[in-house]
Amino acid sequence: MDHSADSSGLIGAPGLSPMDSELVAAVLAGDDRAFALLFERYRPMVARVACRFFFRREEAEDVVQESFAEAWFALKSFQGRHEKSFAAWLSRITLHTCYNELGRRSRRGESLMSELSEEQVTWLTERLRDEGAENAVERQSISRDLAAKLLDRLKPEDRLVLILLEIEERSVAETAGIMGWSVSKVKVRAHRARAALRKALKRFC
Amino acid sequence: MFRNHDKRRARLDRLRLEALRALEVSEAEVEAVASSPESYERVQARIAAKRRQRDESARSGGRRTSAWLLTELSKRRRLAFAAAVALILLAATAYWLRTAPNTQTDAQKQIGILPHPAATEHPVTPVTRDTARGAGAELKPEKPAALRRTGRTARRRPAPDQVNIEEVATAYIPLTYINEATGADSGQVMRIRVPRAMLASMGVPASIERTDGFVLADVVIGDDGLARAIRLVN
Repeated sequence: MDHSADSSGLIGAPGLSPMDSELVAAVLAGDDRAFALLFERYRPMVARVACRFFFRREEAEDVVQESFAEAWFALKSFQGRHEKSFAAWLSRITLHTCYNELGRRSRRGESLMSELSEEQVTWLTERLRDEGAENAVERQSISRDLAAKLLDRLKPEDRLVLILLEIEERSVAETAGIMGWSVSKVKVRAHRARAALRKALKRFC
Repeated sequence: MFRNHDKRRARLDRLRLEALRALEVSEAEVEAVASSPESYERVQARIAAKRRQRDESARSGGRRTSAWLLTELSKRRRLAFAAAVALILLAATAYWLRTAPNTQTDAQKQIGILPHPAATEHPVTPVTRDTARGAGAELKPEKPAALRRTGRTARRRPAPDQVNIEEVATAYIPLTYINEATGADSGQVMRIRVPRAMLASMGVPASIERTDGFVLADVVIGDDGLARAIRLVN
């Protein structure tokens, strides 16, 4: 979508998209089209974050919609002045939405994906026992479904911390900022999360 | 052993990282989610629903607050009422305890000692020949000197004619030999029920025809625990 050609009349230099802060100001002034622009601009980023936690398409879409709805109500709290800050702010909202949804699922006792199939158990067991496979060229990588089931065994905050630190490769300070935790809490949580996943895998040794 | 443990831990960590990396999504998957049709319309529907929900909870929150307040107020009123009742009961109990007559202790009941209405209030009246004569005692022994003392801090008993108008008592009859060494300056009077059969053994002249039953008696007990005198009460 070509924002510069947008006929919403939003302020912006010719050929340049309106800044996020301007769009936010327009939304707060009552301009729904500005919010539509923000939605289009950041939908892929929000979807990428949601897909890390939810592997079913409908669940990820649900989280994307929920994140934008929450962002709409929280726009007044946005005080960014630079382009990047809105993305970080929205990313934080999305992560919190994912975290809340994971928590809701664990409270509901949903374990749709947590039970490993026999095949998966066998695969894990062989993988853990096979010392010779460390240098093997042909190695079958762990399937995403299996990975999801393993991670389902973790608490939502542990899963979130591991994903932020080890997949998105964020720093401890960034993770602390996103979660609203102290740096020491992030470190402790990460340590416990790694131990928990190790323990989950040890059952198949 | 430790080397095996380290190897195993390294393998677990490797698998852990693989599991996490397996979660990375492809661009195609992201695009499929991001380009979901009518996604923005659904977002707007969610915003409208949340707005209605928040308005509704703001209104019902006010009503809930009022109901909560009323409940709290009624709770407080009930508490205040209960506290007032408790205070009144406490005051009534305290008043009753202060004005109620002295009751007998269990020990006293066991040995047949009856509470004397004036036991601790009135001093012991020294037993004299005159008092014994005035009371019409069956026997008027010599009054030991110690018991004739006056002006001491001995407890004084009212004269026989000063006792409860419902009671008639004899004069005090000395029970033990009293001299200057054994005289008591103070003591207590205890009312007891004495078997008639025991009166003779106590040196109290009693009718040999009537040996059954009990008689009321006031016994003067010295500070050393010795019974000094006795009088019969009818």
